[in-house]
Formats: sequence, structure tokens, C-alpha cells
Amino acid sequence: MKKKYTYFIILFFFSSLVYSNDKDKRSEYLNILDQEINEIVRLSKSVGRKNPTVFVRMMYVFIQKGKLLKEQENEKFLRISPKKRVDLDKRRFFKKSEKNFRKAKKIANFGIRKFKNFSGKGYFFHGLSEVALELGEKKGFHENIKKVFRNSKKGSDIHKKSSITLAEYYYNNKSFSKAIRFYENGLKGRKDRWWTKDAYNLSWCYLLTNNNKKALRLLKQVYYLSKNPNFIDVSYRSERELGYFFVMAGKFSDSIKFYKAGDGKLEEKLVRVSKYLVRKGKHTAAEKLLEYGLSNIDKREKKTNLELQILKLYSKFGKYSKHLKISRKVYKKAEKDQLDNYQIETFKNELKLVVGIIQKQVISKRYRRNKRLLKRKLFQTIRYFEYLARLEESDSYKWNFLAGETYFGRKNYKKALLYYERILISFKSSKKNKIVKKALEGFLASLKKAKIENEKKDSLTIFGLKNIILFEPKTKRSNLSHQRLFSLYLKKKKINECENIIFNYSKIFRGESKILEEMITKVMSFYKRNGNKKSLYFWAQKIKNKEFSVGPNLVKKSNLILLSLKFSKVESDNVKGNKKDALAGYLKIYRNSKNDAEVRKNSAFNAAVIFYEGKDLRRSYYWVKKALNLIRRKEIFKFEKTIISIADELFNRRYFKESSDLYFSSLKKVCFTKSKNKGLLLKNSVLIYLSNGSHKKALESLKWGDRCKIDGDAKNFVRLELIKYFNENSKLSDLEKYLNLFSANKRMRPSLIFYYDKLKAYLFRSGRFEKSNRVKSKMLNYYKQSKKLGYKIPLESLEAISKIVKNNIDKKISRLNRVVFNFPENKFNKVLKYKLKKLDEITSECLNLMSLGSSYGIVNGYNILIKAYDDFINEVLRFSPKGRSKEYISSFRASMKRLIGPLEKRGREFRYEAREKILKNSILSHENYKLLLSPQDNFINIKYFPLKDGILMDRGGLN
Amino acid sequence: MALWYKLKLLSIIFFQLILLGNNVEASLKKAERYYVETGKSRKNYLLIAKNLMKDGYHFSAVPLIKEVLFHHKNKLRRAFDDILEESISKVGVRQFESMDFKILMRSKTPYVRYIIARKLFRMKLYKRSLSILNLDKIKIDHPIRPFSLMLRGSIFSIMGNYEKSIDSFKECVEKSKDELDDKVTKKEKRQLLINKDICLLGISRTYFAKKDYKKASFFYLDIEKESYIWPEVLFEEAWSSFYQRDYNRTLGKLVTYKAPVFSHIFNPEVKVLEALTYLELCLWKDSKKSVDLFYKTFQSPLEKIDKVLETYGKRYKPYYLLAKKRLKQEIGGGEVFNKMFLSIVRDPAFLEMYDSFDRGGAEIKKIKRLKNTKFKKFLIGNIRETLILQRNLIGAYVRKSLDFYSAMITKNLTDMSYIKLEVLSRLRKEILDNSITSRRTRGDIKYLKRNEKQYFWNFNGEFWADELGDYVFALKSECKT
Repeated sequence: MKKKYTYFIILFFFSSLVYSNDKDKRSEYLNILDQEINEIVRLSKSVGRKNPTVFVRMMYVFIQKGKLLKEQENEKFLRISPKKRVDLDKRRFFKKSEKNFRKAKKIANFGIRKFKNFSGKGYFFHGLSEVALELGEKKGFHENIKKVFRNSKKGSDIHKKSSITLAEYYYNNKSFSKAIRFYENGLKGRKDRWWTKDAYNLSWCYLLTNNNKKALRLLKQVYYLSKNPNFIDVSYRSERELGYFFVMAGKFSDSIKFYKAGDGKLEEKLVRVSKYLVRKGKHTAAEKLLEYGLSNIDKREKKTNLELQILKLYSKFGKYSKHLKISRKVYKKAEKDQLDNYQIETFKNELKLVVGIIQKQVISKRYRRNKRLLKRKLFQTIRYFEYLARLEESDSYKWNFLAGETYFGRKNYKKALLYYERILISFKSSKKNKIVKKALEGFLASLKKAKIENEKKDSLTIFGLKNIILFEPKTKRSNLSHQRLFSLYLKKKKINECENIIFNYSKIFRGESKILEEMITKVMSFYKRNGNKKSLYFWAQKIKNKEFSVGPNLVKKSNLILLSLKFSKVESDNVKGNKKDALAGYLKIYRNSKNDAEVRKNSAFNAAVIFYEGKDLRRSYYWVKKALNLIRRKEIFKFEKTIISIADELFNRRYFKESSDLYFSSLKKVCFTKSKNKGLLLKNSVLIYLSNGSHKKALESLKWGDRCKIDGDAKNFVRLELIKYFNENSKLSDLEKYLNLFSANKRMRPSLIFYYDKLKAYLFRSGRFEKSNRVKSKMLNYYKQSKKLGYKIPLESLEAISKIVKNNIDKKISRLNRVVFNFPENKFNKVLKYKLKKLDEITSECLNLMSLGSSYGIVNGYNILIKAYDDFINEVLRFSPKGRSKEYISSFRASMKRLIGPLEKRGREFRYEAREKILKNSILSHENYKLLLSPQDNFINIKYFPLKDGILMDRGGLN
Repeated sequence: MALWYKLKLLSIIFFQLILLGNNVEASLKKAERYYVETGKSRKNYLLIAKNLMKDGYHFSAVPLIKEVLFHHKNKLRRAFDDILEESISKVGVRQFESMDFKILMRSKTPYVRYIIARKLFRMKLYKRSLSILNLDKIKIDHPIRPFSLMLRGSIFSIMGNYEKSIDSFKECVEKSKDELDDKVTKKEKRQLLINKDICLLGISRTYFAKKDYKKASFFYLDIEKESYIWPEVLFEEAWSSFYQRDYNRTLGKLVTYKAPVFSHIFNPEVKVLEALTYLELCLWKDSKKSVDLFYKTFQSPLEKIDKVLETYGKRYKPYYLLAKKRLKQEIGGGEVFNKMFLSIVRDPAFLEMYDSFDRGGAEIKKIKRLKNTKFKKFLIGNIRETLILQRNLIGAYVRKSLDFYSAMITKNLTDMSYIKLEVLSRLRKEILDNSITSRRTRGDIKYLKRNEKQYFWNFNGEFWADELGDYVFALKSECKT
């Protein structure tokens, strides 16, 4: 078992010196290494002194640990900014790893000293070489590797590996002969996984020492072994390089045979090899190989990559004729969509590269004597530009331009024109493109220099001018081109084109009114001369609409033309009283003048007036509304009175809806003017809306009242009308809402008290006593305030207040009546005193009620007083003390009679005063019957009611 | 009938007649008389010894026999050999084993041959051992023959003569079985049973040496679980399974050592094999755990053992006393230490020696009851000498065992170090290969291998006598290839 693991210790360290990049892995790895160190130390204590393998392993563990720590340190080091890094002590930074390397070195040296006869002494030297490598001691590394080679058993792994290392060392130092010796030694015997990789290097060594056949043989072996999964795969490189090896051995046909025999595509392989050969500077070989390839591949499609590759070689070595020949073939394939994107790109690049070179040659004076060659090169250049233009459709103009330029350079203006024209045709918008601009210049320059017939030249000139306008619309040259083009068209009587130029010119050159005016005048004159009224009208209309910036004279002239064309006949009909024809005329004008608001306004209003005069109010309303829409605010004053007349007439004829709408529409129109009719229009519109039950419209009108700054009285009137409307139509929520809203205006309050009373009654009836009481308080409050401010309070409001006061007095009387006389005397006297006091209070309150000024208050005040006095007197007189002697009773009554004497007198006075006041002030009150008839006459308190109800009328009259 | 045989028979009859005649007078008295007659001279030693042994004073007789053997320059008489054989059969071979084999060579009794062969065997002089043993000269019914066969089988096995070895072992098994029926004492029966099993084990071992592991395993199964050596067999079976790459069975065998009945078995190698098996199954963590546990368990006891060995050196008495304490259940010094001592004191060889020593103790008591004469003094001197030797033999045995265990633990620690290093290497390799498996599917019957004598028992933590050694793990190897 021990032997087995000893073997393993050493084998393992050769096979697993691989670095871990992952941080976690590294720390885990380090942890294991630490454990291993501990274990080996433990082991060394028991067997170490006798067993060198323990020291070998210990040495490798330290090397491994050192390497990992170095990686870690290196990462840290690289994270530091380069500036700071300069000042750092690098040795100190790599202290940990170095410590481990030194330990390993120490162990190795100890092992070499202690175990002189140890057959695996090479391992210690190997460790020393590793340490030297890590510490950057190149010499030490090389020396020790040599020692490994010398001190290890021939054929052992370490011996072979050290051979390979030495071989690599010599290989890198380009000592290929020496490297061969070590490689051969290292590759002897069993082939391990790395054999292919090392043999690959060896084959190169052979090649570089002119042992071509050996090299080829070995590389072939490497290639075939690489396909075996047990070996490192260097087949890709070796397959590629075999081409080179074949070439070096002068075996072209063999190479084709070799690549044909292998897997994969021959075409790809040949391309790869040719590229490689080019990189190695073996261009002729590469070319030859590719040509061999082309002649050995039968299918055309498969040749593409070879063709592209060979094109590169041809271009590189100036073989342009061959280049053209191959390019033609490739281009045909491209046209047939047989090329993939990459191939197309490669082909294009190739073409671009070559065309760049040969174009310069064509334009330069280099071949001026060799006309034939020049012609051929020119042909090739133009052909390549055409290919490119077709391959790059989006940039075709660039290639056409270059073709044009090439022809221009060669003074072939006629052909140059063709290419420039192609570009200009392909650009239909005025893009800011330098090449297009240059093409235009080229076109113009070529046009100037080309010798061609006049007619053709004219058409090319027009094309040129158009393009100037298109590509540089705002330049001076464009301005002149417009004028030149206009003249050319006018000369050819192409009036439509002329008109187009005017439109275009007016858009671009707004400031150039004189030139524009000139052009328009020329066009209008043309139409006038030809009697084309329609076109004339068209141009006049345009000028009127200010579509062109022209001078006032032309405007005036064109307006005159317009009006004279429009109203001339209709006006004459109206004046002559030919109303029907006039009306038809206005309506026709209205219909035909869809874009002319002025004309439409006048024709609509005139039509409305004619309908009004003819008593056709509905139609009048219809047309006046049309006109109203077209009338501008500042000119409403001209139409205001007529419109009000039409609205009044509409109301009179009970067209309430139309009437109110017209009032309201007029109000909106006059709203922001200084019109005096604003209040009237508001009142009328609101009243008619309310009579028609449209309180929402009325409210909207009221809002307009605010916006239009109509005076307060008119608005208050409207508000009160609205409150009335809500009350009459039992719209209690609205009533409450607007009462509260309008009561903010103190002037409104006296009028609103009455409606508050109504609201109070509604609330009371619906059981909302508390709210009803709040309304009552509000009423009393508003009454007091209004009185204080000296506002006039309407009678109905006073009556409402009187009712409240009366109710309070009634309550007091009721309380008074509940207290009755009683004996003994002191008790009687106390009641009497109380009752007299209360009577006095009632008297003053009744006087107060009467002073409110309402008929209801006056009548009821007197009535209450009279009744209260009468009741008191009767109660006193009727009272007889019980259980008292007759004498006492009679004396008591006598004294009572004396007491009530003045009261009786006062009662009589009140009755007289009441009667006087009712009659004198013509008070009409429901309570009058109580006072006007004497108690004797009206002892049953009778009242007269009319037999029939009165006739109810709404705001619109009879319902 | 051959002439030599007739003569031999006659001599035996004659010798027995002499003994019978002598028996009329009390043997002890006779012995005393011979002693008085000769004084300190060795002249009558053989007769004294013979008479003492007749009266059951075997231990007192041993120094006299040894003395005769030591000083006798010529070939010894047949009568001496008989006395010697009887003495060996009563006090055991070890009293004589300590003698130089050149002296022992003076006698050619089967017992002595056996003793000499054993000594030579230990000295690795296998050929000489074989020639001395010469089974042709040991009678078929001689009690030592089964043991000699065992020794011969072992020698052949070591010498690589496997066929002969197997034949010897097989004969040994048969012979031991035959002898068992004739034996009366428990001790003798035990010895023969052990011998039979050792021979069976020898067969297995020989097949094992032949690398015929399957046959080896097959014969292991013939050793009954009641056998004293079965724990050892179990361990060998485990190794056998290991070599057959039946790692789950190896672990199953090893787990049996945790059974309470094996509490006296001290074998640190069990742990080594366990760690090694886990290593082979690529269960790195388990393997590492076993190693670490081993360090934890044995590192300090080893120091203790070494300290004991260092302190007592080759003074055997303290070792004997230590063993005696253990026998009296006076435990101390930690679990491993105790277990180790338990293992020593329950060993049949130890028990045999101790038993002899005990019997020697009884004999000394018997002598003490005799009248105070010079002879009594002489006897006491003799028996003391014998018993001191026996005690030293016991002590030496204990010391040797301790030394052996110390070496074994030391070696095992080294082995464990290698195992741990191997585990660490593989763990490192796995990190580099990025192939540490996170999921471990353990325990599946499909990972088991068995032959027709093996049964599969699920181990549920309890150890049943009939299941012992038949446990099989079902761990999946986590090795990549």
C-alpha cells in the first residue's frame, strides 16, 4: 500500500499543477493544502527521515501553495492603481508566496543532500526548477531542468517531461536542432495525451532544419492522432499547416489529395491553408494552391470562397486582369443570390480595394500613352463601380458618382452626364447630401462642356434647374433658377408649370414679393387675355386670402375683381324689390362662398332680414343665427338692434325657445362690448327660459351676466326670478342652495326673507324643526340687518317677519291664560300682579309687531291686544272667592271693577285705533273681519270666502 | 508387527510396572527420600521430578526437568522424554520454550519438536523448522499432531508451497475434529477448537496468498462465529472483500466490530481498512473522518503505551501486575488502553499461561501445608522459580503485546497519514476538475455482491449473534471512472 501511495504522490504532482481561477475554489484549495502540509509534517516525523518521497511531496505542496498565493497576491496587486503600484515594494507584496517557494527550495536542497542515493532525486531538482520559474530565475530554472534530466531514470515520466521542457526551452530559443534531440527523447515510448502537441512542435523543428519529409510524415501522424479523443486535438492547426508542409516539400497535388481525402469541405480547408500560407509570406504557394483547388472543384457554387481568397491575392500582387475575370464570375453568383452575407461583404471590400487603385491609375497621367491599357483599366473601373452600385443599393449613388467622376476626369462629359443624372433621379427629396450636391455640380459642369443638340440640352437644362431648386432650395442660385425656369415655361406656354413655380417660389422666397408679384401678374394677365374668369377668380381669391405676400395695390385690384364678380347681380335685385331673386341670389352666394366668411356673413344676414320682412320668422331666426356665427364681436353693434327686433318678434309670436336662444346668443356676442343692451338681453333670455321651464339655461345666462359685467340690478332681478321659479316649482334643494348663494348679496336679502319663510314652512312641514328654526333665525337676522342698512323690505317679507313675531306673542298669551286666580287674598294678589305684568309685556310686543309695517302685523297686533285685554277683564270679573261672606264678595268685586276700569278703556281705544288704521291705510288683510265687525256683530267670529278661486296665470299668460 | 514396535510396547509396559510398583509408597515421600539421599546433587532429579509429578507437583518438578535437560550431555533416555512430555502437557510449552533450542534439541519428543519448530519458525528458519517438525516422527494419535500440522501448513504457505500447505491444513482440521472427541478437559477442547479454526483460517489464507480470493472467502465462511478466532477471521474476510473490490461487504464486516460482543477486540487496523475502503469508494469525507477519528482515538493512548513501555522496560512483573489488575476488573487509563488490555487478557495464550500460573499457585499452597523439612524448602524454591518464570512469561507476553500494539498503532498512524494525503490529493483534483458531487445517494441494494454462503442482512443498529459478520453496506461509489 505504501508503495502505491508513494508512486501516487509523485505522479499526482506532475499531472495536477493547474491553477484555479475561482476565488472560492482557490481558498478551498489552499485549505486542503494546509491540511496536507500538516499531514506531511506528521508523517515526516514518523517515516520522513527514511522516506524521501515524503519530502518530495512536502516540497510540491509548498510549491503548489506558493503558486496559489502568488495568484492571489497578483490579483490584489493588479487591483491597485498603476500610480500607487509604482511606489510599492513588490517583493514585500509577494512575501507570502515567496516564503512558500523558499520553503520548497529548502526542502528540495535538504532532500538532495540527505538522500544522495534516492533514485527519484530528479523530483527535487524538478521542484527547484519550478521554484526558479516562479521566482523569475530563468537561469536557475534551466539549470535545474537539466539536472532533472540527468538525475532521473531514463524512460521515467519525470525524465520524459524534463526532456520535453528542455525541448520547449530550445524551441522557444530557436535552437531547433537541440530541441529535436530532447523532443525525440521525450516522445519515446508510450504516447500520452500531450504527445500530439509536442510532436507538432517537433515536426516544426524538422521543417525548420530542412528535414521536410520527416516533418511532413510526423505532422501527418499528429493530424491523424489528434482525431483520437485520447490525445490533445491539434488537428485544426496541423491540417492547416500540412498545406504549408506540402508546399515546402513541393507536393501541391499531394496536398489537394490529402485535403480531399479528409473530412469536411475541401474548399474551406484550402481557403484556410491559403490564408495561413499568406500569413507565412508564401503568396505564390497560396495562389498556386488555390488555382489547383479551383481546377479541382467541379461545382461552381463551391468555388466561391476560393475565388474570394484568390481575389485577395490577385489584388495584392496587381494581377488585375485575372482579378476582373474572377470578379465577373463572383458577381454573377451574387446576382443569382448564391453568396451569403459574409461573402458579399468580402467581395465588395475586394472590389472597393481594387477600384480605388485602378481609378487613380486611370485618372493619373501614368498610362496616357498606352491608350489600350488605359481603355481597359477605364472599363474595369467603371465595371467595378457598377458592380458596387448594384451590390450596395443604398449607396449606389456614391458609386455612380465615382463612375461619373471617372468619366469626367477622362473628359467624357456625355457619359459622365448619364451617371450624374442617375444619381439626381434617384434623389427625390432635398437631402443634405454632399455627394448629391457634387453630382449636381458635376452635372452642370458636364452640361456646360458637353456637345449635344439644343432640344436635348434644353431638357437637360430644365432637369438641372429643377435639381438646383430641389437640392438647394433657399440659395440665390435657386432663386435665379426659379426665374429662369418660369421664363422657360412661359415661353413654352406651360402655364401650369409656371403656376407651380409661383407656388414654390412664394413658399421659399417670402421676402421677394416684387418678383412674385411680377410672376403672378404675368399669369393673371395671361388668363385675362384669354378670358379665363375661373382661373382669374382663383388667383384673385388667393391674393385676397393673403396666400401670397404681395403689395397692397395688387391686393386691392384683386379684391375689386372678386366683389365685382360676386355681388354685382344680387344687390341690384334687392334694390329693385325683387326680393325673391335677391334672396335666391344671397343664398346661392352663401352656398358657393364656403371659404369666404365675409361673403357668407353678409349674404346670411341679408337673407335673414328679407325673411323677417316677409314675416317668415323661423327662417329669419335660422339665417340670423348663421350670420351671428360669422359676425365678429367688434362689428356686432351694426347688427344688434335688428337682432333684438327679430328676437322680440319671435317672443311675441310665442317662439319662446328661438327667442330666448337668440337673446342669449346675442348676449354672448355682445358680452365683451360696451353695448347697453346687455342687461335687457340677460333679463329677456332668463325670463323666457324660466317661462319655458329651462332653469339650467337661465342659470347659464346668469353666469354670462357675471362674465359680461352686467349691472347688479339686472342680475338681482334675474336671481330673484330664479328663486321665485324654484319656490313655485317646489324645487326645494335648488331653493335652499340658491337662497344661501344669493343671500351673500346684502341687497338681495330683504327680498329673500319671504322665500326663506317659504323654505322654513317647507322644512317645518317635513319635520325638520331644527333646520326650520335656523332659517327663522336667519330671517330675523336678515330683517334686522336690512332695516339697519335702510334697505327697503318688501311687504311680503315684512308679513313673514310679522308671523314670526305674532307666534311668539301667541305663546306668551297661552302661558298667561294657563295661570288662574285663586284665594286667599295674598295668592290672588300675586297672580293678579303677574298677569298685569305679562299683559304689559304683551302690549309692548304687539306694538312692536304693529310697527313692522305689514298689514298682517298691524291687524293681528291689534286683534291680539284687544282679545288679551278682554279676556283678562272677563276673568277678573267672573272670579268669586269661595267660602267668603257676601259682603266680602261684593266689596271684592267692587274693588275689582275699579281696578279693571282703565283696562277696559284701553281696550276700547285699541279697537278704535285698529279700525281707523285699516280704513285709513286701506289695509287688506285676511284678519280684517275680526276688527271691522264689532264683537256684537261678529260674535261667532265669521269670515267671508269667495265662492270661486281666482284665475291662475303663468308667466306666459293663460295656462 | 514390526520388531521395534514390540520392543517399544514392552518397554512401556515395563516402565508402567515400575511406576505402579513405586506407587505403593507415597510418591512425595519417595521424592523426599531421593532428595535426602542425594542432597544437592542432580543425580536423582529425574526420579524426584517423576515422583513429584505423580503426586501432582508438576510446577515443582519443572526446574528439575529443565536442570536435567540442561546438564545432560548425551542423548536422553526414553523415560526422560516421557516425563518431559507429561510436564509440558501439564504446565504448557512456554515454560520450556524460553530455553535455548540447542538444549531443547537434546530431546526429540513430539512436544519438544513442536517447541523447537515453533522457535525456528519465529526465527524465519522455515526449512529447518520443517525438518525438525518431521511429522513422520509424530504419532497419528499424538496430541501435538494437530498443532504440528497447523505449523507445517503455515510453513508451507509461507514458503509458497500452497498445495502442501492446504493439504496440511485440511489434515489439521480433520485431526483436530477427531481429537476433540477424546479430550476431557475444557482447556484441551478449547485448544483443539482454536487449532481447527486456525487451520481453516490457514486454508483461507493460503488461497488468499494464491490470490484466489473467492475460494479464500468461501473457506472463511466455514469458521463458525462462536470460534475464538472468528473476530480475526472477520477482519481477514474484510480484507479479502476489499481485494475483491466488494467494498460494501468490507464495510459491513468492519461494522461488526462495533457489536458489544467484540468489546474485547482491539484492532486499530479495522479503522485503517475502513478509511481505505471509503477511499476506494471515493467517499472522501468519510475517509477523512475515519482518519481524523483514528488520530483522535489513538494518538494519546499510543503515547501512554509508549510511556508504560519506557517506564517498565523489560521488568516483567509490572506488566504482569497490570494484566492481573485488568483481570480483576480494575480498569483505568482510558477506553483504548482498557480495550487493549482486555484484548490481551482474553487471549487464549494469555489465559493458558495465567491458568498455569494459577495452578502453580494452588500447588504452592499444597506444599506450604507440608511439614517444614529441607525438602519442603527445596520444593518451595523450585516452585517459586517456576512461577516466577511463569509470571515473567505472562509479563513478557503482555509487554510483547503492548509493544506489538504500539508498533501497530504507529504503523497505522502512518498508513492513515498516507490515506489522508491521498484523500486530500483527490479532493484537490476534484476541485480542479470541478466535480465535487453535492448529492450523495447512499445505501442501495444494487451495489452489493455475494456468493452462495453469504446472506444479506439490513443493519439497523442492533447486533444479532447470527447476523454478525454478514452485514453489508450499500454505498454507491462516487468515483468518476
